[in-house]
Amino acid sequence: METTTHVLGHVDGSSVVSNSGTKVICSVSGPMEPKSRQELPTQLALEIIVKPAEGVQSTREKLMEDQIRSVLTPVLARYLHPRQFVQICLQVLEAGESRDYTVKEVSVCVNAAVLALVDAGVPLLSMCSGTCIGITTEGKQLVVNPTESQLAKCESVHVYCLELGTNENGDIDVRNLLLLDSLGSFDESQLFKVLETGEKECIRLYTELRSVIKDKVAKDFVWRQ
Amino acid sequence: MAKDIEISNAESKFILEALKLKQRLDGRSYDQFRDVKIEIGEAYGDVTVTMGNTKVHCRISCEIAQPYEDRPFEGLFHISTETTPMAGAQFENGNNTGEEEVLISRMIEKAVRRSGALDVEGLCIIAGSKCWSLRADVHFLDCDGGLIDASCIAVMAGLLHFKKPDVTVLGERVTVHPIDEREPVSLGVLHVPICVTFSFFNPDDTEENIKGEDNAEISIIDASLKEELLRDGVLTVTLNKNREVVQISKAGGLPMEALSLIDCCHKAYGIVEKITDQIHRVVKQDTIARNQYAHILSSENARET
Repeated sequence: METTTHVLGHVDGSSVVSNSGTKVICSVSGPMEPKSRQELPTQLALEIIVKPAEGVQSTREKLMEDQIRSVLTPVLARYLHPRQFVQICLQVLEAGESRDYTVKEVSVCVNAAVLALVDAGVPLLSMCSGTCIGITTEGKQLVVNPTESQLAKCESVHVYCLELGTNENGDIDVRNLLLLDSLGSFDESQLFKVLETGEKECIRLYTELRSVIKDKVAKDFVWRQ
Repeated sequence: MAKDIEISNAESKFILEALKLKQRLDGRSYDQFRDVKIEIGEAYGDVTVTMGNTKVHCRISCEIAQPYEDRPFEGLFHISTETTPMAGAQFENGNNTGEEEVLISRMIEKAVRRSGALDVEGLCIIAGSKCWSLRADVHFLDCDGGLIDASCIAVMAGLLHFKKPDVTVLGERVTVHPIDEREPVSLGVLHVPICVTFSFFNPDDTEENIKGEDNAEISIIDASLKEELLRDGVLTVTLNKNREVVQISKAGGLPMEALSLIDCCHKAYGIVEKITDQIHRVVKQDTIARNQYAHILSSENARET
């Protein structure tokens, strides 16, 4: 996974994340004053916009928006900003998959959004990371982060997001399953295998994200030393 | 969540006073265009253009469609310029009816599509029933002024770089060959229009500008966002390397003399020439990088002349 943060000048936080042929740029603005119809009396309101690389927004992008919202909502410390609003804008630069799938884009979008939220300084309760896993038709092999050609050979594909954190002892703490969306046919044992492998991959991504943030904070707060 | 960007009185006064002293905030002279950076992505027709803090991404894609009944020999070409709040808080999601958004999309449409920069007849597969429908999706990533100029460069670089899959036609049967099976074909780009935007400032009051003799109006090239907010008039000229004026657009604002228009075109030509060469150079470099094994794979024999 390649990441860059703070790439845009007119928003509060931004990031570019690319992973096996999928590339997404994410911007975060807020917390700011919402329109009255978006306002929530006790909590932070969230607007998520996903724009495809080619063509206009369709139901496919709306589905992605909805999935990303369900991942990000529990992670944000929403009670801290009542009657305020955060706008997350995700622009897919390279889809890396055909329009029949959304898995790769959703997983990269989640990772990009987390980085951009950190860059914007929006308070989070914990971190999250997402990955996608495919099961091949021949041999029933699990492929983590399949490429476009591998994806075409998969019987089922799964997108998997975990809420993660680090506890006082410095151990990684898996807190919750945020999203598991599957497409295709599979059985129970395969799904358990996906959960097992996905957890490992999510933890790996989480440590990667953490080290990116660590470097970023060290760079951004260099004036404090 | 569209919010007009506000600029404080102190800052606006500072910028205008500096302009009178021939100074701009980013240290450029009046007639200096920002350095243009053109990056080409993995896929064909994937271009990111950076000009200072302005960043525009353009993606060209194609699919097979049916041509319009009244134009059976022409393919379809569509440029989509949808704004998102990513570029700045002044843009609203899904609302492309704002004055600025409409102006940008119409200008690009006029400069690229209606000037015939793309050979749409080359997109025809079977007259009247099948043609390529080409799409240019322009994504504004960051807006620090000069969106029209940057988008125009991005679309033209994208068109020059894009390759559509090869097709064979046997009667009514069309076979589309995947890119990895047969060398894809470039588009027919007939000329490369480049937009250059001039912004005008009036150091004295409006009356002086209309009736006065001294014509003290300041004209600058490629304004940044703050300069765009403060300007009194704007002119966009589109030229190509053949010294043809593709279009001129001046929607209101400060009145100006005909001679200064010609002067502006002359200034713009130098910029257009430089950028056109840059686009060609970048596209050529990318082609060479993609074809690094071509000389090994080629079965061509050395020929005697």
